[in-house]
Amino acid sequence: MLVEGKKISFSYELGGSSYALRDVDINIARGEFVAILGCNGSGKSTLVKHLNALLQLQHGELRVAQIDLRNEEEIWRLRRLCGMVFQNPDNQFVSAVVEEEIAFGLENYEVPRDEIPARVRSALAMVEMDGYEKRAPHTLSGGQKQRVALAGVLALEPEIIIFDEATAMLDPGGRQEVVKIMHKLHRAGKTIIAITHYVEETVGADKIILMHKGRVLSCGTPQAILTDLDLMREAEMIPPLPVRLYHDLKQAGIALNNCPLTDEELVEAICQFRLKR
Amino acid sequence: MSIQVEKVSYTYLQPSGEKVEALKDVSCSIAAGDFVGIMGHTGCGKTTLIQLLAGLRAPTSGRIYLNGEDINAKGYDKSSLRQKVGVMFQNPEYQLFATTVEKDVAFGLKYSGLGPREVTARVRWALETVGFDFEKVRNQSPLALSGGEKRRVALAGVIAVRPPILIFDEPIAGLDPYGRENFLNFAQEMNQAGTTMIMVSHNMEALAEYTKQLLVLEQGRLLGAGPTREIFTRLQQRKNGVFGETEAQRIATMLAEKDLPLSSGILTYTDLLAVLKQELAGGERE
Ligand SMILES: Nc1ncnc2c1ncn2[C@@H]1O[C@H](COP(=O)(O)OP(=O)(O)OP(=O)(O)O)[C@@H](O)[C@H]1O
Ligand SMILES: Nc1ncnc2c1ncn2[C@@H]1O[C@H](COP(=O)(O)OP(=O)(O)OP(=O)(O)O)[C@@H](O)[C@H]1O
Ligand SMILES: [Mg+2]
Ligand SMILES: [Mg+2]
Repeated sequence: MLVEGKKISFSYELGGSSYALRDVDINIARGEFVAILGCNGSGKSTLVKHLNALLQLQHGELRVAQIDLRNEEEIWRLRRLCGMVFQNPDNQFVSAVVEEEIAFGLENYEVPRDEIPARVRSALAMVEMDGYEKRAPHTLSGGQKQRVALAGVLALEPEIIIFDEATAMLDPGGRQEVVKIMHKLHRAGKTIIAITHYVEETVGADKIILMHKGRVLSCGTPQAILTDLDLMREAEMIPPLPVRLYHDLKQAGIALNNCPLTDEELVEAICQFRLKR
Repeated sequence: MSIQVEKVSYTYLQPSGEKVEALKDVSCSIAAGDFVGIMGHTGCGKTTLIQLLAGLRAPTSGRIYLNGEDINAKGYDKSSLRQKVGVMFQNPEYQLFATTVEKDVAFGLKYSGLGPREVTARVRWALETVGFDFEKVRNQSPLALSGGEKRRVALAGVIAVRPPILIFDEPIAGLDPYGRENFLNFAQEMNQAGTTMIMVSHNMEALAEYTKQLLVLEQGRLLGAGPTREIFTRLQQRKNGVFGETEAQRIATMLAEKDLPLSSGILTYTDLLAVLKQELAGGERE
């Protein structure tokens, strides 16, 4: 296992009684695409911030790529392995212009100097922000900032990439693009961990970790998690449109063959239903 | 309160001397009591437009009228705008600064003329409206909250003032599903009670289901304005991919391509469900 966590508990208050994470077990294999789903305050960001040691482990055990998170000397090595696109891009900009922002991260990673310009260019191109190299990050629109933040992490080419709501401020086209990028990186062998409030972005994951009130409520394939209405209700989540439609049609006496997850599967199921009739 | 936007352009001047034309000759009007959505690709000028409407920037050219008054005219009392137009910005978490959630939400009520007891009542109402347990959250530091929780506190701060015009820039980004639904239902109720609502969003479902009118921007220009359904239909006919299309619309199109043309005008989930029930129920019309 690339990520192996057992009984992780975490409280933001020292010696506090309220826990942001409670007895969380987490297992992620190398090359896996994992989505984390859960309502506001359920502990998603807190959990992923443990993976690159942004938050210090308090209770339990955690190993990432064989590195024991209790071993502080190894933290730097871990950070290189595990890149993270933060929920609020504004928080992470440190440079005066966009290209420096991305180069800065590369320098920190000790990427050879002569490779940096090309890496910067290709990362910006990947998120369609070429042409903005000289702009000050704070003068970008919300979605543009998010794209630059994304480029900053993509340029580093880390083994594990964590996306903490990296699509929240994007338009529908931009969102699709980013999801495509995630899958492309996944196919190239990267381990992807994606947090999102857009449930349809989780259907293509290998597995979903469903969180609720600091605990892992369930963990399984998208099919197992997203089509389980009781589980979704317990997590205060709303299933994807095809799942809702399947169930609402069933209630009206129209039983499609199996419960679809994507729009394509839904259309397929409806067509089959008509053929049979 | 109504808003008139007349031939407004806005150009950002970069320190480097580079000019960014964020808005180009935009004209539109927003009637009192309307619920208007603003949509468009990343960087098309939505946030800029909102900042102009709120009087935070003055147009490079053109005019903006509030109830017939030019808000950038010399004699206009700009400080009164804050009580008339409430704005929640795209990254509201940066507006949070007080030591407790309660103080943060109460801040906007400083000059409202309300007494301390009324202020507390109003703050409670606002925080409960956005889904918090007032007693639990009132003394917490706003900085010690999750991303979505911070947004909710910022939201509470804006609605607490109860201005006649409310403007929201991506209010539901980062909210969980029920948070989204709660916010949108709340916006609808406020609107029904007379508040003029303006909402920027990338969420097509939210725009389709809740707004009455839509403004569509493309690269700084107004591409279209009109009743929400009409605009969605028009955008779909433009066939420019995922721009301005709800998931229900997309599914209806995919079905049509598979030889199952559904009646036109499917925009929301409810539309799609109703039509499919009829279509698939084996000729039994309801
Ligand atoms: N810096 C902090 N100090 C104290 N408490 C915090 C802090 N950050 C988060 N919390 C609390 O910890 C809990 C989990 O927060 P976390 O940020 O992990 O949630 P999340 O699932 O990422 O939510 P969201 O979807 O809103 O981003 C919440 O109850 C939150 O209020
Ligand atoms: N302070 C600034 N200086 C220079 N250019 C700016 C500034 N603020 C915004 N811009 C540019 O103006 C254009 C419009 O930006 P605006 O923030 O209005 O877009 P938006 O429609 O709100 O986009 P998003 O959906 O990404 O939030 C963009 O190209 C942006 O880069
Ligand atoms: Mg979070
Ligand atoms: Mg914006």
